Amino acid sequence: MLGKPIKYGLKSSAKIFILLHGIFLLICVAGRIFVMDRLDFTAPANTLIAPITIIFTLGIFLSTAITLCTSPLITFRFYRNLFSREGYLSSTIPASGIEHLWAKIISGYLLAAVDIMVISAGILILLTSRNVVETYGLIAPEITEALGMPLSSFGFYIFVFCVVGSVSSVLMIYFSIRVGQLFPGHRVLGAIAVYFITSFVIQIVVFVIMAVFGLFDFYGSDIGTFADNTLLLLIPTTVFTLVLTVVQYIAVHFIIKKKNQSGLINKKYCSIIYIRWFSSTFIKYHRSKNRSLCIMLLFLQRLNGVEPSHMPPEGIALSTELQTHSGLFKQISDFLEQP
Amino acid sequence: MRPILECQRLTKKYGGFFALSDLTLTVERGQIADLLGPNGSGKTTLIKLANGLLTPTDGHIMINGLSPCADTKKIVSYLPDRSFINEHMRVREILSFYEDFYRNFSTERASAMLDSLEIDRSSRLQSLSKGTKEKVQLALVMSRVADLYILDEPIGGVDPAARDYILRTILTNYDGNATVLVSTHLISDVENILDRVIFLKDGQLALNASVDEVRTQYGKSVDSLFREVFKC
Repeated sequence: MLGKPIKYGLKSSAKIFILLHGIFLLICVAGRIFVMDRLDFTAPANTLIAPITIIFTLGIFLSTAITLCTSPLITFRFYRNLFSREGYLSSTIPASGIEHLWAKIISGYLLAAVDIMVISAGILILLTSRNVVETYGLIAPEITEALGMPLSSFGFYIFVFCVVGSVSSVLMIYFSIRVGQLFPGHRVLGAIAVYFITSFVIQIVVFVIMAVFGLFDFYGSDIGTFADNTLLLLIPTTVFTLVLTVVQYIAVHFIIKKKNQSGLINKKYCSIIYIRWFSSTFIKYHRSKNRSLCIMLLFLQRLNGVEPSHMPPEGIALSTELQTHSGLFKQISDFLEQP
Repeated sequence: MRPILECQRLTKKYGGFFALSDLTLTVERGQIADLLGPNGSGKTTLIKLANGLLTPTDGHIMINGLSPCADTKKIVSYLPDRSFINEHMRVREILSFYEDFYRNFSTERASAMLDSLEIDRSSRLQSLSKGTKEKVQLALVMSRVADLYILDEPIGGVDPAARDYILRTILTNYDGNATVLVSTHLISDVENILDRVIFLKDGQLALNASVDEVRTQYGKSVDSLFREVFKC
């Protein structure tokens, strides 16, 4: 049942997503045709600084903008589809909460991954004009030596890490929204707070791990090439974020499963009958000084509705449950009053 | 056969407020029942619980003997009390959606209803008037061959002619073996089609009787009884 929710999840975001990324690619193509292809790398350096700076800044700006547009798109579609009025339709299709979650994870990840691919394609469009390739060819050996591997290989590794790691950004969004739903009346604020608090905690944990394993000293030293050091940083970071992604998924899965169970306490183990028998037996045979355990038993009784937290509108003084268990209460109170 | 809807000591609490309190209720198959009560009596809460949109604080609710789950959603067709479809979708896209997700969706029935409403399939939902939107949503819901139709305020906020159309749609598309649970305040409009009335007051069951029993026992119409029971 996953295929259809994924299909409709992608369809609902497709127009805006394709429009934004289409514009980005068009700008990259225009940048290549009108700027990069016309650069003369044999000219004096001071004539090249301005156009290269502009194209570089524009490229970073556009790439950041497109990513910043994709994240809210994923967020809004998840929220609207499951928690706003569209949630009425989503929640009544024959699919479980977990199926909905997986459909959203897959469709969100596909959008995030395609976003990275399009940005990478845009960069390639800008940097693969013939004059750029020929000029790079002159300095390629030095770049390769400094990096420790060809630039293309290094770029490919970064691309793969970004694509793999984008699933963590998707789960982070869903985790924040799902946990935010646990704050009635402050769901959106709760989601935002969870997002920033979780991000902050992750940064602190990463910092501590790096400090504990002496990675700051290692990366600051001259050991290894730039590419080796970068990959040695990326690998544990990616592994950590994937582990965190799994933890966040487990948390969301747990919240959805618990939401589908009635009540907070498993009735099998906390039924009034069981507690009543246990309480009577305990008080009868263990008249020791364990008052705290008796108080806890009283608390468990209350938690299961023995003392009603709601009086019927007609204002009956004692609920049926109180009347039923008044004998047990008397036993417990007599026991507690003992010297 | 099991009753289509059963509530056993059903309770739903929001913080300190009880929307439903110890509700025990059975709705048999093959009936058109009206869920009546003043605002805040727990009607929409009960409906949401039946559709799995909420989970009970205590007690149980069962559809055909099962707690609300993916299997019960296959046999329950729900019309919420508000617009629930993405308004940017075109009518034909919404039809495809229903065809894709609901095996018991009858495209022929839906198309016939949309044709009678003269709805252009390529028009977006947001371009339709409020009343037309309500009719489109009702047409989609009633085009499913379900065991239980739950309609939350299907005729609220529309003109009298539209109300007649909606009620006719419910009657003509309703299979005699299915159950229709309607929640509406407009009792005089629906009284003639009802088999049973269920009164909720302050989250508890105040009355569960057939329309004939109400008229015989109380000697008044359901509308008059409602006004008397829920007099402000």
